[in-house]
Amino acid sequence: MSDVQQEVTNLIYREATLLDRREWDDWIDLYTEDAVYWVPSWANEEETTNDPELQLNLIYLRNRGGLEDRVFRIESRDSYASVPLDRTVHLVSNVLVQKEDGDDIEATANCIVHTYGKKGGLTRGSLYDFNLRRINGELKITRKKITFIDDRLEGPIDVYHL
Amino acid sequence: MNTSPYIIDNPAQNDFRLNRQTLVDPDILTLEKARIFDRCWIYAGHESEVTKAGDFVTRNVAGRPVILARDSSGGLRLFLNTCRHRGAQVCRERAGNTKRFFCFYHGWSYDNDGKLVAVPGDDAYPESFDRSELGLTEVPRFEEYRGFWFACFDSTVPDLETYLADAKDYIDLVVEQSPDGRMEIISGVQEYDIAANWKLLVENSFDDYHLHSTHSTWLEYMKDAGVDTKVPKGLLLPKRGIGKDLGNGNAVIDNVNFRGRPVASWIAIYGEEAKPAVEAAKAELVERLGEERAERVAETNRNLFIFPNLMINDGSSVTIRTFWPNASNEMQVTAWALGPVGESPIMRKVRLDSFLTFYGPGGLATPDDVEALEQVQNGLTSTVKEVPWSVMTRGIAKDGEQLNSDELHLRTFWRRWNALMTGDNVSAKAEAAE
Ligand code: FES
Ligand SMILES: [Fe+2]
Repeated sequence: MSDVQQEVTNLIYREATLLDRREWDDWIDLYTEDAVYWVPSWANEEETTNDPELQLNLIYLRNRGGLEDRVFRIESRDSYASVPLDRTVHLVSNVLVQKEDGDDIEATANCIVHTYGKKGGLTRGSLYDFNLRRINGELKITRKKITFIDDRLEGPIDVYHL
Repeated sequence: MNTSPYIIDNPAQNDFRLNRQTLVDPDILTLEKARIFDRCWIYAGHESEVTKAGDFVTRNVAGRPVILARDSSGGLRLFLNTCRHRGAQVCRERAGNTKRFFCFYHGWSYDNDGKLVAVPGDDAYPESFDRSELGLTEVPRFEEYRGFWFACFDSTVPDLETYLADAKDYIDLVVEQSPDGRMEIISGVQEYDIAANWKLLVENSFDDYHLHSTHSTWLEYMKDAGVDTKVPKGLLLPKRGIGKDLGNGNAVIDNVNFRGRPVASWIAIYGEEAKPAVEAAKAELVERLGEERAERVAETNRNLFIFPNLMINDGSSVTIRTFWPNASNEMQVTAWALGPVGESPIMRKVRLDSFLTFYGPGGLATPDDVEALEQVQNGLTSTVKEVPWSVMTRGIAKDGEQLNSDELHLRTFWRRWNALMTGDNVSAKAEAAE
């Protein structure tokens, strides 16, 4: 395995682990200040929305502040959708480096998230598209796109489900 | 005092109670399908979803699979999506453009006016076989108001405009934010399930009583972003949030805006770069509608309920939300964003950001609503024998205007629901008495 492949895989695994273990601050730290976080919706059977600025998505956050708002909500324990907090297990696989261009890397992965919450267990699958950048020797996430394979969602979603 | 098994409606005694079986009993859902969904005007789609000849979308309306299609002469049609031969769905895609709906089972095809145009091996049919009688079946009634199309499966009820009654004025307010009077569904849709009775979402979608307790983190978020969440004083119309009965079960909460509107009310969250566009939109409104009407369109919000299952929430964005019961404790929700035709990209961005911040399965507010509804369903389902009634009397003792946080608009819904379910007009009298 190349160094880059290993490094990218580690980062993506680490994100999954931090989410499952609820280490929110370390999780947010994986993202750059200007990181985009995007969960498109399905426009038809074949395509998701492809222009996050001009189409209706499920989630579209333009920078890390958007992720911080989510963490604030979770930690406040005043958002009843997240109290009690669902338990999650992320299984990430098929990590592939798709493109390397200086400090910028594009990678894809697949993810199965098993959630256990008030309504019992639920398993959902999604495709990950990552843009990563090496900053001071460290890889950070500059963009993450999460494509759910479900078009109708069974209940709400928050960052820990994704 | 009425005699319905479903509600106790006695304004003279300041009493209004709801039998919780209405939210639990599967037999009541079966009755609702016949007495409500088959007899009312049900939202089917928006004109902007099919703009060119041959465009179509498929969906379920009142539980039936339908095709909303733009026909060859540019009109809108609503076909039942079932082959006249032996029943298969003739259109299997969610959206597209086609000259023919082709039933792949035996190969019958229909044009986009619904005419049966090809039958493989038709020489085997008897002489009496008449293609012209075997076109796609259209829903019995299909009418529109300002681009919103509704279907009705009962050919005996009054027309759509009569049905909408005073709700028309509020649809007008929504549409008037568009310079050319046309709104459009923005591409993309949110679909999600809620494990609760559908009527709980009717209540929740225009229940301002729950804002502070259920959505405190969203209010916190707005405050953090520099938005003053206190309702301002001294605007032209209305002076405070009110709840209103609009006739035929339609109702609204009509609010003073405090959280920004992409048409004409800038807040810090939108960013400095959006300010000129928002101000230009306001200027356009004033120029087109005059000061007072522009203020009404721009600086007030409305959560408009069209009986039985359409909500148009015109606030920090415009949401079209409709829902259908899969079971007495399960519904499917579909939500779209609506915006003025020709809106500038920067305004679209503001509109969609506002939408996503609050609404949808991944928003900062809807998930808490979903949780509330599911908690209600869990709370009352198995306790219905011991705790049979819910109390819905907020504001009932008041003369005149009722607040958005009162429950008049909820009683309006339930009275209409009760009248249709029981076939009596006692509720109408109680309404008049309140
Ligand atoms: S069912 Fe459609 S062609 Fe036979
Ligand atoms: Fe709410």
